[in-house]
Formats: sequence, structure tokens, C-alpha cells
Amino acid sequence: MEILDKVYLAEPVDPYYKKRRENSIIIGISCMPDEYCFCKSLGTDFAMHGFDLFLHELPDGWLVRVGSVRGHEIAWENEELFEELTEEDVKNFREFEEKRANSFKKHLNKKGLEDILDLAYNSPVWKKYEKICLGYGNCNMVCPTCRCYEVCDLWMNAYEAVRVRRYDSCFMESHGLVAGGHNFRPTRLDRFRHRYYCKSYFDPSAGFNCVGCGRCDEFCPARIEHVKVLDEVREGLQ
Amino acid sequence: MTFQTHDARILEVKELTSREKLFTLRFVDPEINRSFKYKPGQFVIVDIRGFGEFPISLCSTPTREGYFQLCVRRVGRMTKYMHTLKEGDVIGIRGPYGNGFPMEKMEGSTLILVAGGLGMAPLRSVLWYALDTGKYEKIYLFYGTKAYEDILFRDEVIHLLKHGEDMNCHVKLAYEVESPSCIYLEKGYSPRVCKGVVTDLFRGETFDVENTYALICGPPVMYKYIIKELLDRKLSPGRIYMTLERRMRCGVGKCGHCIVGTSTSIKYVCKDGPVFTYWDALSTRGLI
Repeated sequence: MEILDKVYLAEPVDPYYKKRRENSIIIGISCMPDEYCFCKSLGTDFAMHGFDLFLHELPDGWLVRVGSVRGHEIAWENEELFEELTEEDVKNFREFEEKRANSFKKHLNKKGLEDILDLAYNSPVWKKYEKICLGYGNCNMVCPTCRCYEVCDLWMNAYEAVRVRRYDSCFMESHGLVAGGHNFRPTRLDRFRHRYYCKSYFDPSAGFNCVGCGRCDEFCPARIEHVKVLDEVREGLQ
Repeated sequence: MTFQTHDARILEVKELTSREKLFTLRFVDPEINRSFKYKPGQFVIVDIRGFGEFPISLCSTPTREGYFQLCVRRVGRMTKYMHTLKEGDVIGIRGPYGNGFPMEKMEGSTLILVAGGLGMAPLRSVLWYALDTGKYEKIYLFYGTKAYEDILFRDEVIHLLKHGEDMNCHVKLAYEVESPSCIYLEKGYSPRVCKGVVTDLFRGETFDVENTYALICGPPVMYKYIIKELLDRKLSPGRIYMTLERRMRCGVGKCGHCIVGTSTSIKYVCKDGPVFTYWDALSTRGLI
């Protein structure tokens, strides 16, 4: 969410996004990592900011962290739902977090990743995955930080049209196509590599563009694993 | 509002070639007309309601106020529709977007404008800006075109071939398809007009590399060859400016289509460009 904010709320501000953003309340919930998740490697497993309320599961209820004035107001208005924090709650919370931290099955070695990827521009690993990838764009559709959009005009009837935005995927051939038929990413290899470069772009102030949720792995019809691809590229260099 | 377009009226439509038309426009709202300031190399987004939006470079110069011009080639659905528009019709415009050429920085230097085909459009803005302000030492225009019929702004190019020297403007033209008109031009202005490609025009030319900037615009395949020609003459990568094209939907770095680069450096062509130096292309993969 903060990655999206960085893009859409940067000058010039996207008014549509801003309005929706202002009208939303962000309530986080702590989860147990599934078999695909590698968010711990990217440091996004514990939210420090960017939420109004954050719920942590306890055996007999929820531990609630308040992250903003708005979150505080919500808690205030619903005082009857809350109880004082006990020492036992804190103990349970700690135990849950420890258990959670140890149950990640996937780990991404991100040390120097951005430089390694840049050097591996012509790596044979990309060629290998070009053959495996089906170019469905499922990974884009489920990715929480994928944000490319296409603008099109839809005719509602003979006299009215609306301009709409829809999700666009960089795995589609039309993503790099310009008028006159020239395509700046003509092959699947270009598009596959482009996605990995975009996700692994390291912004010194915001970190990687990937949050490590692992949803792209879960929904990939070709069973391509994000971490595995990056590890193979890394190994390919050595 | 970021994506708000403003109505602009078509003042004149001029047929440049069989595929390209030049649209002269002015905003309906005089206030917007006054506040619309742009630099050579910037672009606007044209909004045709019911069809969509497309980016197009400004080919007029900001030194001539009160109107702006767009050179549109008929290639797709939207541009096909645009070609049916007549004087007095209204379209939507938003912009200007992009960084444009650093015209102030280049003052007092020699400019080499290298245009290929439709690349003439954004460089025409630079050309007229440089001629109007007169702040540049010498201007070279190397223009590569397919055939005589495809020369954009033909009257202006021929005028500069004829009288350009008086304005310190040195025009050279390369054509690929031979025709009586081309041979006539070649006879009249040899050796400045010749059959060949645009890199052939560099032959016999020497530049003071300490005081020269090259500005390139053309089809994607052209850049590599021009840059080799310039680097052979020891022109620094920081002095080579190129204006690039990508699919763009927003113009302000949101829609993601124009992202180029790798994990170490990502650039938005619409926001960080469309004018890049060759050094940018060296440090960001995939620009050219």
C-alpha cells in the first residue's frame, strides 16, 4: 500500500486514487505464513506504519495496535469492545509472533540482489523461463504492487461513452506496443525479465517493489516460483 | 485535476504528406491559452472523446505564442479519426508533459539535429526555437527521409536548404527512394542532398566536440547508428540527447507502460524523459 501511495500520491497527485485512499480505513490482521510467503525476507512481515488498526490473534480475543488518529477514534468510539491489556496477553502475543517468525518456508536472499540482476541481463535463466512461462499475466493480477493500468473509452449506448481505467499486465503483448506497430518488448523473454526487474527494483527510500506475499507463485499456472527464479539467476552468475 | 483535459479548437489543418497532417490548435479558454507554456521536446496528450487518449509531441515553437501545432501520422484508430477533423472542431488536450530539451543549457553551442522520418516533428520545435532566439552558434539539421513525398514540412526544409546558410543553419537531406523531384533537389543542392541514409550525411563534417550538442529523434533502429557516428567523433555521451517513444496512458508516471530499466535503475519515459542523454541509456538498460 505504501508502495502504491508513493506512485499515485507523488506530484502530480492522482485525484481518483487520493479520494479512495482518504475514504478508506486500513485494518491489518496478522496471519500465519502459507507455503508461498517469503515476506520476512523482505522485511514486510511486521507492519510498523501505514495502518489505522492492526489485529493480532490471541487465544481469547485480539490484541489491537492503533496506528493513526483515525484508528484511535474508532477504538474510542467503541470502547465497550476493548479491555485492558494483561500480562498474559503480551505473553501470548510474543509466543504467536515467535511461532510465526519460525514458520516461513521460503527465504529470498536479497543481498546485492539489484546489482546481481542487473549484471545477469543476458542470463540463460531468463531464456529457460521464457519457455516455461505461459504469459497469462496471473502474477500481475494478484500482485499487490502491480499497478499498470490501461485507459479505454467504452460506449454505453449510441450517444454516451465513459472513459475507464482497467488493470493492464506487462505480460500482454500490447503493453509495450506503440502506434505504427513497433513493440518495445517484443518477446516473452523481454516481458518476463521486465516483470522481475520491475519487482526487484530497489528504491533506496522505500525498498523493493516486491512485498514477498508469494501470491504470484500460488496463482501461476506454470508453477514458476519467484524466489526460485531469482536464486537461479544468482547462481547463474557464480 | 491531474487528468483534466482542456478544449482546444483546430485553427488549421494542413496536409503535409499523404499520411501526416499538421494541426494548428488554440485553447478555447483564453486563460489556459495564456498559461500554456512548453519547451521544445515536450508532449501533450490528445483526448478524443469516445476514442481515447494518445500522446503526441509538440512540433511548434514556444517562441511563437498563441497557438501550438501537432503533426499526426495516420496509423491507428484514433489518428484515423483525428484526420477526419476539420477547422473549427474541438478536441481535448492535457499537458505539456515530459522534460523537454535543455535549451538554456545549450545556448551558445552548435546544435546537430538528426531526424529520421517522423522524428522531424519534435526537432522542428527545437529548430524553430533556435532560429527564433538566435542564441546558438550554428545549427545543423540532418534529415533522413524515405522519399520526396515523405519529407515533413517540405516547404520549410527546402526554404532552409535555399536560405539556411544566412541564418547559420546548415541543412542536409538524405533520401532512399529515387524520384525526379529528389534528383532535381540533389542537382540544386549537391552535396547537401544525397541518396542514402541519415548517417551518410555525417561524411566530411567535423565538429568542435567541446561546444556541440547532438539531438536525435527517429525510428528506434536509427539511434544506434547515429550514436556510433557521434561517438567516433568523440562527442561525450552527456552531449547526445535523444527523445524516445513508448506506450503512454497517463503522461505523469502512474500507468506504468513506459517503465524501462533494470533492478538498479528504473525510469519512466513520460516523467523522466522523453529526452534522455546517451549517458542515461548507458546507465539504464532498455532505453534504446
